[in-house]
Amino acid sequence: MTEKELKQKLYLNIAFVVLGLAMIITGWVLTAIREGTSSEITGLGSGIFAIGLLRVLQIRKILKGDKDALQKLKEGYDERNVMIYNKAMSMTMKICLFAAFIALFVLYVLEETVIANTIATVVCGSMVVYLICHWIYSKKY
Amino acid sequence: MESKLSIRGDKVKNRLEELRKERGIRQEELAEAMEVSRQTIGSLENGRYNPSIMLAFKLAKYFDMSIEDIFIYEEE
Repeated sequence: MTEKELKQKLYLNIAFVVLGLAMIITGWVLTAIREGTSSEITGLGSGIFAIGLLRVLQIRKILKGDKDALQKLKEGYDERNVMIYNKAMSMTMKICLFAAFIALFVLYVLEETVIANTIATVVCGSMVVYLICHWIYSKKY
Repeated sequence: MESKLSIRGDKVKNRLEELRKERGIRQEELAEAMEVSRQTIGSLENGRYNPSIMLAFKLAKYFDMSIEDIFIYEEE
């Protein structure tokens, strides 16, 4: 990984930190003025903030010449780890789709059409994204 | 010539552990030189994982051998 790529990653993660902070603040403000999903927004923001901050600290260490941090980053992009990640993601998607189809069946039987339609839209959207990605990669390779 | 269709039947063995031990190199050292994790070297040696063509070339260059000298293709 080049220094330029590392810096790009640094800026991307700084953006995540800012986004996380903005979500935390939004959550706090909304909690003060209304009840509802505000704490969930704070929770999501905290997660994004924490991941972004950890990455920023790691990349800063690497840019300062920390060899251990560089080795850890390399291990993260190690081809076997990438393969494991891809396989796990692929299996997760398959399981989620299967679970979604079962949930759809049950929800339509129970006449919970609003939730069922939402899930069906998400599933259809995922399939469209998959087809687009498949088309792009089949053109590329 | 008859062509065979083989699905997941073919195997690739390797002499990585043997070559590494011959040269007195630790898994960590080889991993660092190849820019992979130690677990990857372990998995390669155990035959649980086949390397990408890039890693195979890097290993061959590191040991100053050809890919075929390190990796042995076995048709089922």
